[in-house]
Amino acid sequence: MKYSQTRAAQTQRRNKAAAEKRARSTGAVVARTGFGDLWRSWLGHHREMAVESLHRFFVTPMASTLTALVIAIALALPAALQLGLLNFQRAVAGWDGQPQISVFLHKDAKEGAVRSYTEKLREDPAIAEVTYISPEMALAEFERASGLGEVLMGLDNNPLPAVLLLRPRDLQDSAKLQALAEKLDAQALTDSVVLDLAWVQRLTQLTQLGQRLSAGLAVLLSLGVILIVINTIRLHIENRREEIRVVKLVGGTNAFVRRPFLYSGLCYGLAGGLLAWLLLLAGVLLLSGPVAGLASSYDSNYTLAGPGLNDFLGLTAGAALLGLLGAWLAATRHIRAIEPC
Amino acid sequence: MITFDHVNKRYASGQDALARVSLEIPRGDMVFITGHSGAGKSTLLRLLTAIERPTKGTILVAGQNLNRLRNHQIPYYRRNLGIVFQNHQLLSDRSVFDNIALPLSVTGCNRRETGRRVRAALDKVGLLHKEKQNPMVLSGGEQQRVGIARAVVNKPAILVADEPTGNLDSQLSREIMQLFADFNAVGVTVLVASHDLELVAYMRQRVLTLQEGQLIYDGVASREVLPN
Repeated sequence: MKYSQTRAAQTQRRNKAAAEKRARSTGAVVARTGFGDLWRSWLGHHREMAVESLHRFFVTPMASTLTALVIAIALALPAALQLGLLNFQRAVAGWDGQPQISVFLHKDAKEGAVRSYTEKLREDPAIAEVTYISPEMALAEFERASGLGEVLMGLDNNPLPAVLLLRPRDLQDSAKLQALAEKLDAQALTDSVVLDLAWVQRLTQLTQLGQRLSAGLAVLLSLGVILIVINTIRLHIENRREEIRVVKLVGGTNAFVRRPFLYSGLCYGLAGGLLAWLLLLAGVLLLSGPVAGLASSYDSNYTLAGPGLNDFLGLTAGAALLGLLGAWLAATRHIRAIEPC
Repeated sequence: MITFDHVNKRYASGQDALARVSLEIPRGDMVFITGHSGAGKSTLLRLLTAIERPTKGTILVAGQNLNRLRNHQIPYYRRNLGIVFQNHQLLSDRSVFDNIALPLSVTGCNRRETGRRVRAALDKVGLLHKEKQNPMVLSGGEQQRVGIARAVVNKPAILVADEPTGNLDSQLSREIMQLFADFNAVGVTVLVASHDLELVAYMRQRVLTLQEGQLIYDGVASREVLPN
């Protein structure tokens, strides 16, 4: 009983399947594809297009390299400026950006008077910190920093005065700082006062100017890179006009048609970024010898910092993005213009 | 299957390429469209394949109103059509196999299924042994067969051909037409535009004749009743 029931159900199922098969094999049936298949084929098409674009890049090595080189030069310029600024900042890092007042005392000031003067200044609310540098300490530091120790040995007596280094509490208000400097200058013990505020300010302003300049240049030249890629991809599209027409007529979506061009743009960007990094590296290697020589003549062991891993990643990723953006702009615009829509 | 209702197509130049054309093509029919060049054959096919939109009137294909088709839906609509061109539009940078596989690759068909269907299509047009060749080394008749294989590989419900025998001699033309008749026999609706009246008469199928954008004849043609 049970067996025959199962048997009957089996036969029924088989008949149904056979009927479906018959229905499918007769006449025109719209071709359907499963969702999993679609996903796999979408990935497959991406892989295919990536490989094909890379292949196309190397089929015309001269033209591709030239385009990539133009992109590289456009990117290397602002990157080099940025790197130069970074090195400049490293070179002047000895000067911390804090304004400082140096009070040079009269050479024949009595030690007791100096001590009480220092105590008085320490109690001044406008001053955060006072450091006393005796003539002996000043001489020792000068010898160490300048490398001119032997010259000083030849002198009979220490030419350096005692110095008080003051750290003002209020660093922002330059008028107040100026007033403080004038007040100190009026004291009997003071020979002269140097407020190194202007120099520090100029240095920061100079660095800021350089940064703005390099940022502006980067924006302009990035725009240039996008235009270069747009033009290159436009030519690619023009060359494959017939193919695009056919693909559209057999039901290819605009995204499908666009895909290989996006990968081409990505290729140009990546190659351009890589070359830009190599250009930077070459530039730094070229300059590092003379810079090291110059530094050693100043008794410094300063060396030029080259483009690092971060620069490499930033340049290639940025360039790839620019390439992709340019390709997308060109493809969207020019593929739509090719009949049929 | 295909309905044109008072369809007008006016180009920017002000010329009416089609004027108030109404016609009805049932599912599974085989229909020829004839007329001199400039009579509106190509315009009719361009409207049917959604390359252009009508100025006035409605076109229904398999119950779908083409006027309501949005631009992004057009590729999906075209996947239900097989289109054969006069100059076959084969791509010279890839093999016969890859040319035929193109409509399958845009729909995202897997590799195994693609291979199976492409070979089935090649088998139907009798070129199974040429799948690895470049289409440019084939003869004109063979190239057109490849074009037909590409049009049918997706198993479309409708097959549209614009002057498919334009560059072929009469023997080859008849073979190509027989191929279309074979597809029609398994249920595909076939629409062929041709100016070769002799060939059309030989096929003894329904004929639509256009003249200056108007439908002037609709019936089964034999050589005697065809307008010259």
